[in-house]
Amino acid sequence: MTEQSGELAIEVRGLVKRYPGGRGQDGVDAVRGIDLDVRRGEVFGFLGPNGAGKTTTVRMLCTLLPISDGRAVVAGVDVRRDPAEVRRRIGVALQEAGLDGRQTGRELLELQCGLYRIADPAARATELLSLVGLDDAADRLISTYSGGMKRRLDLATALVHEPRVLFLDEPTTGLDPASRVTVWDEVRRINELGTTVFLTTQYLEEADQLCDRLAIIDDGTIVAEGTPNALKSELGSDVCTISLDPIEHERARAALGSLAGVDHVTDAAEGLAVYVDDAAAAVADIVRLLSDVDIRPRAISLSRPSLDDVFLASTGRRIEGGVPELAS
Amino acid sequence: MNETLLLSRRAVREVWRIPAATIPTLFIPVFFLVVNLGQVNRIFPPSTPFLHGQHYVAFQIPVSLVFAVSSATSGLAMVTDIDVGYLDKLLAAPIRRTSIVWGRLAADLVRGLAVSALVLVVGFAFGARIKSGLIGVLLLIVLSALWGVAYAGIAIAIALKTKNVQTTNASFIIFFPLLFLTPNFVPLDLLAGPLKAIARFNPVTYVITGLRDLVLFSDIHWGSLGACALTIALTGVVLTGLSLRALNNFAE
Repeated sequence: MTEQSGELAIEVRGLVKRYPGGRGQDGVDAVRGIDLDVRRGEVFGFLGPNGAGKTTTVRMLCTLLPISDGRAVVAGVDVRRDPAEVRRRIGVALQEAGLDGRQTGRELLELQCGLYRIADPAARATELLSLVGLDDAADRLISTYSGGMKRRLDLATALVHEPRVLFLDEPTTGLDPASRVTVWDEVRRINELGTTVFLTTQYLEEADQLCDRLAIIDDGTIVAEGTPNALKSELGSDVCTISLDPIEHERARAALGSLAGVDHVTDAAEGLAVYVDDAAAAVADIVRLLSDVDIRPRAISLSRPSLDDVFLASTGRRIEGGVPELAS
Repeated sequence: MNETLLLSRRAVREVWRIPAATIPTLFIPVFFLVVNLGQVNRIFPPSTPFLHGQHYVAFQIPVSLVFAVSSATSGLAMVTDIDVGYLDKLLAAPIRRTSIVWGRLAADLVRGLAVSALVLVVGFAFGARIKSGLIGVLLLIVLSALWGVAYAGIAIAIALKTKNVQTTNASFIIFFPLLFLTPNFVPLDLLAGPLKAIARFNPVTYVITGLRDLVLFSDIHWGSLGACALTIALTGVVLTGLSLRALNNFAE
């Protein structure tokens, strides 16, 4: 075994995942040399749009995908040197709730306990079913469960051996709002019991609500890292979003850039986002300045910076799908 | 409990819980048996030399047995595990990965024993008798089930390689030429030249012949029985090896 001590639950240096190209084509780097430090006991978020490299990174850390280059230490064990020991120390709930619908919830949990050599699988399964609120559905086939119930059972299967690190890959994708909040509560409860949680998500609110710290990944590269509040405060205090006729964007940008108190100006959905120290104080100046150059805004709104703004500032783009669609 | 036993229990439970996955594998060979008997029963009466006094159904029973157990069921179950993400959960668990394949093969063994026994019951209903007696009946059931286990490796390997239901199902279609390029209707000596040459290289020939001798003769023909057992063992080693290799390469 290759145990390494320290305060870090996950330590990643120069991690690369390279997929070979087809005939005559270059390979593709899905993850491009990322570094990560996840402290013991925290909920660490990995935020990014679809295809950014989140799932690829998680699959490498969970030993499900070979690492092309770099080094990863999970729960004190080098992933490349001793993947079997890593598997003993981690719990995994991947994007697809990995459940066998042909078994009951209890059968699946007892099997999972057996695979992890838990001394009394039946007792542990009962305990976990109770923990995730599935006592009443325990002896029903999993194929009859709702999406939220499946996700909670999936969480329970990842907890049978009380893992040191729990990997959750987009745990609420496809869930309705009520189920999403239930899963968040479960994640908080698991974390309070001492488990480090590594969570990938494309949902801004989820990252904001759950994570102690987070990293933002785009195109296989980490573009920002820190606590949600620190990342947002780096952008300035407030955001003033101005809806404009598209042909007036550039003139407005040039005019606003000279205004005192403006940190920076970026594109927004239908206009410009102006980052200022105090939006309430600046809004009158903004309107006056635009009026001076004969620009009439369609609408103006004031807000605090969001993680989407952090992503925008880091990449020049918004996170597509960053707000969950309501499940039918 | 050992992980292979745990995964075997899960797979066997599926066989019991989803009869719809097993019944079609029984229906097609029984259908072929009935149709074949209807077409050639009068052409080959019990006085035909190669029938050794039995009805033609006795000659056909071994064909129906190998047909019934050579299914893609385990491969299809593996594709389902891949689709729903359950295989990932197993691969992320601290278990020997070979146990995932052994668990599936255990289900094939149980399914094979049940299906073989049912095919024999159908054969008995049409007048077949197992000349080698109770030992012969047991050997027919066990060897047929073991052939099913040996052949299952191809569907599991295709499932792991392609992750595709249609392609995995094709492993059942592969068995058609293997089955029909054998002495399935008449003994090897009566086959036309090219077909005889192909049949001699076809492993299914030796499985059918070994099983058939148990049906037609009261004394055990050790030569054909040994060739049958050896063929099953070699097929199992090769195809199970392919499926284990496919599992090892699954994440690549």
